[in-house]
Amino acid sequence: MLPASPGKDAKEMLKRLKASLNGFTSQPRDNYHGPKGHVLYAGLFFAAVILQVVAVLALLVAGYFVAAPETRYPLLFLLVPLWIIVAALALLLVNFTSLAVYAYHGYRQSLQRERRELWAGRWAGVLLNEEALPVAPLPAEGTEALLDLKEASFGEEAEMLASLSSYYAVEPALLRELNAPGLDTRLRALEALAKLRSASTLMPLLRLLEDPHPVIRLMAARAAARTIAAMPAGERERAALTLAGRLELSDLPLNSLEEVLVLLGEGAEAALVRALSGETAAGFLEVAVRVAGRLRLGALSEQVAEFVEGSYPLALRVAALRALGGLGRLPQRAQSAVKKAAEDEHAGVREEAVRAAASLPLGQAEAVLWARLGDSAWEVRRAAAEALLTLGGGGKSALIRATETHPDEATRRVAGQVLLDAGAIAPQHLWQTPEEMA
Amino acid sequence: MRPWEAFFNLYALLVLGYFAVLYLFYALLGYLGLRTIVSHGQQNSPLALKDMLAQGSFKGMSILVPARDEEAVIVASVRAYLSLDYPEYEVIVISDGSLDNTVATLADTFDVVEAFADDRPRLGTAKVERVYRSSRYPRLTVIDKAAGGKADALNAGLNLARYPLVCAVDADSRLDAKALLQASRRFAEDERLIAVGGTIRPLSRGALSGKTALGNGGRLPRSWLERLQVVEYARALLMDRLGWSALNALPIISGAFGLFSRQAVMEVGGYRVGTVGEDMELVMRLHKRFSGAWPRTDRRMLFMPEPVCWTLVPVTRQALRRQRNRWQRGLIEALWLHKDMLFRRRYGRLGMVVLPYFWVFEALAPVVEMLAYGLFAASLLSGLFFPGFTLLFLLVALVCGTLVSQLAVGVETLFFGRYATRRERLTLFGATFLEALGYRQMLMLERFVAIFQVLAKRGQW
Repeated sequence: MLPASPGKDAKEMLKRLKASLNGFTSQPRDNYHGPKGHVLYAGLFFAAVILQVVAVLALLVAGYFVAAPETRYPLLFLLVPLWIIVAALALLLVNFTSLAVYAYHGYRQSLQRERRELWAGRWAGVLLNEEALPVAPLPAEGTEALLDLKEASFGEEAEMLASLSSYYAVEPALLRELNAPGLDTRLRALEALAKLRSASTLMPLLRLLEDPHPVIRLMAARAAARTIAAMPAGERERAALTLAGRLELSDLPLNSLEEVLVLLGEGAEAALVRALSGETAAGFLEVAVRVAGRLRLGALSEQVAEFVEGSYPLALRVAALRALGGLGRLPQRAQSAVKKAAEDEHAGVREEAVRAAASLPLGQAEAVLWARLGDSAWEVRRAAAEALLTLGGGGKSALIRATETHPDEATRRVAGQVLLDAGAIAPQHLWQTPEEMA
Repeated sequence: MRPWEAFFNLYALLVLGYFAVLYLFYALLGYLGLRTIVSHGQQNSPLALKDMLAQGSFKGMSILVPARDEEAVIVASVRAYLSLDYPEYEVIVISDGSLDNTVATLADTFDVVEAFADDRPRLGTAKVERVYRSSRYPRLTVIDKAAGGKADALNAGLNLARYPLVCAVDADSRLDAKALLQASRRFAEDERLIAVGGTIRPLSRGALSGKTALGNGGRLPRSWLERLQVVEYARALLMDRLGWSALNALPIISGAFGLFSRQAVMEVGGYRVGTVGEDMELVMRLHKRFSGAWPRTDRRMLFMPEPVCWTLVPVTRQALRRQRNRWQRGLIEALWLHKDMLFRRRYGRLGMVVLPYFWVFEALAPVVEMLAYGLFAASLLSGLFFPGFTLLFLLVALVCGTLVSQLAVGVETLFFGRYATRRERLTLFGATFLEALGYRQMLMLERFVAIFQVLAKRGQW
């Protein structure tokens, strides 16, 4: 039975929760947004198509019998193109049938979306004690609405919604759907499990990292990472190690692996420590370095700094320097590596080293960055100028000085443009404006 | 049998066979396209999109907007591009020798100030007179350069682009609010990707002026000429491009909306100046560089149905014919420039299937079809009329073509939910019949003429 429309307080709460969801509610495969009366249009559409196909086939047969006496060549020559046309028509019929099936599913999804919104109102009413608890079992829309609200909630509301999920045995139902024959059903279940974040679903999710379908593997990896991130410390790190081990063997694109590891949040550190210190495939190692930088895991800076050395592949060195730049603080070992990399023969390495150099102790940072302002590569000069600006008043003064006194004209231009782009100076306060320099 | 009777017989059979094979291809591509649409929909997890936004996973993007004499629309276009939903991006408008007040209009509206020239390694372009940055909108850069053509303008934009992704658009287009997010998420998820093409749809003039919201579907244009182009775009983009993308052999990404890895494009030397079909020519070079047997880098190019760019289409027959003439010349130029890829196994399905298809069924299609109509006329005049063959030819060329268009319209309306009112949908369905009665023939004739003009190489907008 459908819930009634929500009351005023529930609507306000719903609005707030929906805003925090930022429009990303469960509508991944809700491709259909049609008007009422689309059923009539769909009916007319397919009826017209079927009539045409039947008419074409009939005329083909008629045309063959008329054309056959016209040709002086063996009839086979005429039959060959006709059979090709029949094959094309047959395949077009298959396409139209598929379209009908997909359109029907799309229509059902649009109805389900409407029902889901009503259910969201109902759950908001339950949280506000304005509505009674729905009777079990929940329909799919009710479950999805519940999990959508849980995803957008915090604190007491989130705990209440989690309790409701347990009360209505949402988890066993979703785990059963993981084994459903339809890909859509399995993907929806994975999406729901990603929101549920229940520790007891972790093992089934990890098993799916061996699924032959790459979309299933990726969705399962995401759901597992989100689940692990919500676990208590200790348990979380152990689970993250297990996940990382499975990810390495999952044959997913490296960027996808990176996104999954970032989802682990604080739980990623243990997995990254192992990846950075053990026998790890080159691609996964680079992913681990990038994730360390994105998560700003300062504790890993020494390990990451190791990969700045010249003996490692260029992409790994660049990733390591970028990560160090993101960590914000450079331990002693990393400082020497960064200063050395700022003199590297590869411009890409120098560029990232210069960005990381902004985290050196102040005096050292200014010296390295000032030296790199005159680099032969534009990207390095630009990075040095931008990094100088992040040093505060001293860096800004150095840049202004560069626009006035640096012997290299290209450097003066870059310094001036960085100051202008950052709004740190008005054009009239520059020693030479772009027009004057041109 | 007299020789010319034998000739008519043989040619009639060949034409029939040609169109039979063509529509079998269409049906196959439609099948692959439908599967790709469903598979893309399955991969579109909004939860993943939300997470990626929260994690800062999206790469920065430079939107390149080449413009020539676009004074009337440029401000509205730039405002639209500056309000897109994307975490980090810039908009670079390149005025390619505009003779009107395109640059002055931008300067007045967006408070631009002159920027310093920089000395990055560049693609060669026509002289860049000045570069401006907006003091009010830090994302906006304006390049004022000498005329050099669209490809040249795009190269000038590439030279100044700051971000790893570039998106080439037209000055008179509108992107769906979330188009950039939808298109670029694949780059965030798959490091092998170097280019993504999005869907182009005709824009109604009311929406361009802001009188009509784009919303989920936009509105069906008012004129029948534009409506027929809606059908045509739906067929070409949803079935043709999606089908080839499913085979990982996408031969073209439209210049009106394409996302590229800047590094990949710079590596192949940017857009080729002096060609009419610079968009297809670039994709061919990307395939050559990144898909060959050595050095094999396993890169990919995709076409995606969800990210949508709405673009103005010609509203007069003359403008439409000029456009299709240009497209045909561009197609043949690009195919000719890369004829060395034909039947080469190192280019996989692109070399062995797609390029031969394009030569036979795209480049030469106007010749075959026009000669078929000529054959029909000649047979009537000579008294040698084959009613059976004529009926079969008309069935195949016209009716099967209509069915293919209807499939595309069905996908647009029933699957994507575009053109939301029943009236618009029925109008569009009716347009699939009208398309075969004069519209298609008019364009075929123009493409036929273009084949003989192909040697005139000049960059045209």
